[in-house]
Amino acid sequence: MKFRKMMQIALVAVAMLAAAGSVWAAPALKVAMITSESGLGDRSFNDMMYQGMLRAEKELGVKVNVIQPKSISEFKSTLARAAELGFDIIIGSSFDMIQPMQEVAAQYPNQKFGLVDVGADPIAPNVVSSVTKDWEGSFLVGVIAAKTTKTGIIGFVGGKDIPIIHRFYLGYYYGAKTVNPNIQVLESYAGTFTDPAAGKEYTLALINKKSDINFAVAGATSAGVIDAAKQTKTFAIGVDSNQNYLAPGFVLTSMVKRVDNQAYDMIKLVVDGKFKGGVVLDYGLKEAGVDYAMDEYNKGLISDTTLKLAEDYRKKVMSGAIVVPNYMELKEGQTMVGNPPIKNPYVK
Amino acid sequence: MNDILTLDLITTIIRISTPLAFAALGGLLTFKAGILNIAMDGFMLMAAFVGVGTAYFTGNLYISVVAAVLSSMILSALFGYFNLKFKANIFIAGTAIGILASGLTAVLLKGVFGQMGVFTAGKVLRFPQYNIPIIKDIPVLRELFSGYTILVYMAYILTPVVSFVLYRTKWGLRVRAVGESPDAAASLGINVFSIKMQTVILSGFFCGLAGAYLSLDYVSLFSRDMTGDRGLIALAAIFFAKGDPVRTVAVTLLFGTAQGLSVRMQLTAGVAPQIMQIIPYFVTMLALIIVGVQAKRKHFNIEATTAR
Repeated sequence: MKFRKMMQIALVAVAMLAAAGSVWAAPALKVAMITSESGLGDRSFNDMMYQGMLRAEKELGVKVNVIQPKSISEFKSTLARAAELGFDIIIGSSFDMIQPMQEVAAQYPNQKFGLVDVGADPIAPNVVSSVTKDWEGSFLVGVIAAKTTKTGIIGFVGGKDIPIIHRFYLGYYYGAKTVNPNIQVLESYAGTFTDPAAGKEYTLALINKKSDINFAVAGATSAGVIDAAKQTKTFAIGVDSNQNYLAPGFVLTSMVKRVDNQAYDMIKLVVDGKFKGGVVLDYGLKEAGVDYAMDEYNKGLISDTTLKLAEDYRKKVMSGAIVVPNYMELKEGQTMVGNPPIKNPYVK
Repeated sequence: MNDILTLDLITTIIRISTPLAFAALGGLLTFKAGILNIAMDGFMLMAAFVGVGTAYFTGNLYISVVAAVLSSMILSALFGYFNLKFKANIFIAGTAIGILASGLTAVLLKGVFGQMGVFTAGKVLRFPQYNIPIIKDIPVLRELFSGYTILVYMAYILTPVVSFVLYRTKWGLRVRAVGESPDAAASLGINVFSIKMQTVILSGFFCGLAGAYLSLDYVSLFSRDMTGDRGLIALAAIFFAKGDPVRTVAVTLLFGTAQGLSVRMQLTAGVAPQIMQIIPYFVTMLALIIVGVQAKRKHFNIEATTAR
């Protein structure tokens, strides 16, 4: 009966190993990333968020599945399918996913969801979402623009004349005025998010007024702003994702929303067991949710002293020594904004 | 105000008006042949995409323009075939072509170039600007005539050409006859289908130039739905001028002026941008009202004469 005894010992050993294994290395958490309809390879939000996923795989040991719906109409079915498969968290990356996620989250109340870069309103009791404090990032590019301009005049081309775009302008204006009170900041709105030719026309008008750096916050219209910079040998500043590559040498920097960090942090909440639905997380400079983009395409365009100054101001905003005003929180007739107080550009 | 009314405002206006002028020249031919061409944005968008795509592969702007124009003509032939051969409702056919162009360019942008939203041809390709001797030293004339690219000159040279063809040639007479009374034209042995088809394909030719100008000259890039309803604005210009080529192009210049002023006045006058941006549409509305009232008066006159 020696063989039988050996088998028993082996069996016990295997069982012990398995038990030990489950204690030491819990099965990896499963994360689903649902891209927006543009999918991976968009050089924009999806690609950036995927970087956050890769970092989570490396640092948190989770397993990420990327699911790419082909159109906005597929968002709901894709989310439902992912919920059916049972992931530990399902993270979406599109503003257009708010409603589909609300519907699916209601059907699967025990499923955890996350949605990056949406509004300040909570999505659902089992969804964590994040709001990007884009005005803080705009503040930093305003600092950089004010210190880089040769004419003392900088410009801004917004898409439509709506509050969310004013938020970028106010941050930009505030940053520029903070480091150079005499700077002139020109504000214009092209009235469209989809017409690059209009963006170019508005930018040329700004350049005509001696502005040599123009911040484009206008969707596809921004491409025309960058095109105008290339043609007139001035600078443009990109927005949302890193647009430096669109015209190397003529895009001073881009005010980027770090959706990679936002997604990573959501995964970390689940890993740490701190996930709470119905919560909206703020992502400003302090939370590394916004930044200005530096890469090989804008190398050498910004001086080291300016970069150092920008870093100083980043610290000041992070510590709360400087409060960048949020356009949405302006009171009627408020004449000064932020800390230090600067004249409110919206009160004439 | 002096800041706004500088001489280079002229340059701005001509730049803004050129794509409208191209599209309007094409659209007025179909208008004269009795076809409401609401597919021009689709033609332009297709041409804008093919233009940038060809520039990416060949690095040659002139080949790109030819390819853009051809693609737009193919799409216009499809539009004409749907409407004239299969008798599809013009609105449905036109809308379908618009959706097709928007969707197809987006899909190809992703499929062929792996890009979303915005696509540049890579190398900086720009049409040379021609400075005309003597004129380039005289203010005003300089802004009016010198320093433009070949496509801009083409638009304004083609205007009298279209006018001549429409009013001074046999073909032009046939087009107008088909437009005014297809049955009468057919009874005289004119091939109505063929004439209508020809005008549709010619509108594709002109819209192709408009699209190529947008993506290869005005800006050097393609982005989704970048035509910004310029086809519809061109259509309004055609209605305003009742399809007369010279007048139609003059109206596009008027629209261009409104837009050019709106760009500048926002910066100088500090007027709310919405009020400025409403100008082109306001002018369009005004134009249509004037034309409508005129047409109605004329109609009354005709009724009065026939009653007698």
